[in-house]
Amino acid sequence: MYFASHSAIAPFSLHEPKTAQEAATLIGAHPDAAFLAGGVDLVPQMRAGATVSDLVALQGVDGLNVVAADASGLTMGGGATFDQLLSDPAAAAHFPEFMQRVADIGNIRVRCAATVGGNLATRNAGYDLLPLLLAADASVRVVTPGGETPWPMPQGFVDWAPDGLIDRISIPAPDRAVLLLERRFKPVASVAMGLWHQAGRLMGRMAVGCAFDRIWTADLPEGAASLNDLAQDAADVAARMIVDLPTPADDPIASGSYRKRLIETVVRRQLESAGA
Amino acid sequence: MSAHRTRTTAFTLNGVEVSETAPANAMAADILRDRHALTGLKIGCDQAVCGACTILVDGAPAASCATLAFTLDGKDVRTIEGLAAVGGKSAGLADGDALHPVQQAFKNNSAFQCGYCTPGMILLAVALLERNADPSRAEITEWMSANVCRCTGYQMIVEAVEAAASAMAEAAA
Repeated sequence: MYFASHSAIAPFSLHEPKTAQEAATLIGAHPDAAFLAGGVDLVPQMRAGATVSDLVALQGVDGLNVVAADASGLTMGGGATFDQLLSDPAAAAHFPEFMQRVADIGNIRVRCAATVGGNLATRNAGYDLLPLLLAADASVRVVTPGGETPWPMPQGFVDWAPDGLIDRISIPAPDRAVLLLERRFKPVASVAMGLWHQAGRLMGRMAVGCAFDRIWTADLPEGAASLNDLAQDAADVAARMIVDLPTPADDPIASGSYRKRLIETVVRRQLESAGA
Repeated sequence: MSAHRTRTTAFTLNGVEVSETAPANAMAADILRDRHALTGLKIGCDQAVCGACTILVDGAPAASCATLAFTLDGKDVRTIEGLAAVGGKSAGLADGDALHPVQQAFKNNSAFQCGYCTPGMILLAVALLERNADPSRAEITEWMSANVCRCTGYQMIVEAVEAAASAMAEAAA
């Protein structure tokens, strides 16, 4: 049959596993294989000529689109779409700030197709979900041919290369948590900031996206006893949090040093607003 | 676990059960336009950005130019061609060929010019109103921002969605 409308995807072998373990085994067995979740990134790449010998479709994998939330935490299946997540009343009740940030991602067509796991698997530092999850102290579970393994969230430059299927993403529900995300466009940079209390201490983490080819994170320095204290010392704390941040590359909109100053300013504002 | 290069996909298309055997790499837009002559579905950017190719899959808007056809298996698919009859029934009208209230509102408000984006815009609006019968202007603007119109601007499109919401509320009352 002749399909008239547009550029075609090169033929591939289609696999439709029923379990995460089967999917992980398939991806390990075929060097040029790819998972298909929502396809928001993958399909345009394939249409642009990306070679995929074997497509492992995840739509039929049992339990991959679960969303579960209560007072102790939020768990998202890797195959849950943003829209499924946003439609979950328990998640909205227990994680309102996270859900508000997620609601700002993409448009409704993207949110109906794009999956949480697929977003992470793209390893695109320009996307907002990974900085958000890092700032929210999230943890990830990956299914490999050998079984399920926790995937630690490293500090500093975060370079994702999950060797398997991302099947669970979990966010804890710490005491009095604050989660902020700000994206600037000229020049482009995004900063996610998570602050929470744990064992009587104020903890926090920032994650910077869009400024590098990977996400960059830094923890809140010790010392602040409360969000109000943090707000009053925001300029000093912001300077300390970005002290190890490399200078981004220059681009046609701004120099790298200007973009770094912008990031510091955003961090300061977030710390001030958290204490307001 | 066997691999295959063709796939038989069964789904509901504008209220009718259909089954298609096609290459696994076939796109939904191609199947719907070329095999079912549903040419109200337009190919615009062909990169899942502009929304001209929007269809509704289980009530959710989807870019058919970037949707592999086999993923429609078991789904309820609607295109602009299926809307009028469905609209007639859902609005409780005697004439099954009556325009859907959203179509009528777009017509009444001149919410199109060249019309290329209009099928996608209307389906996007239908999806919104099926989910939220009384959206605020901000909610309409955010939702409709998924699709692009290069002729009219967006004022009349937003007003048409508001008018459709009012008409549907009156019909339901």
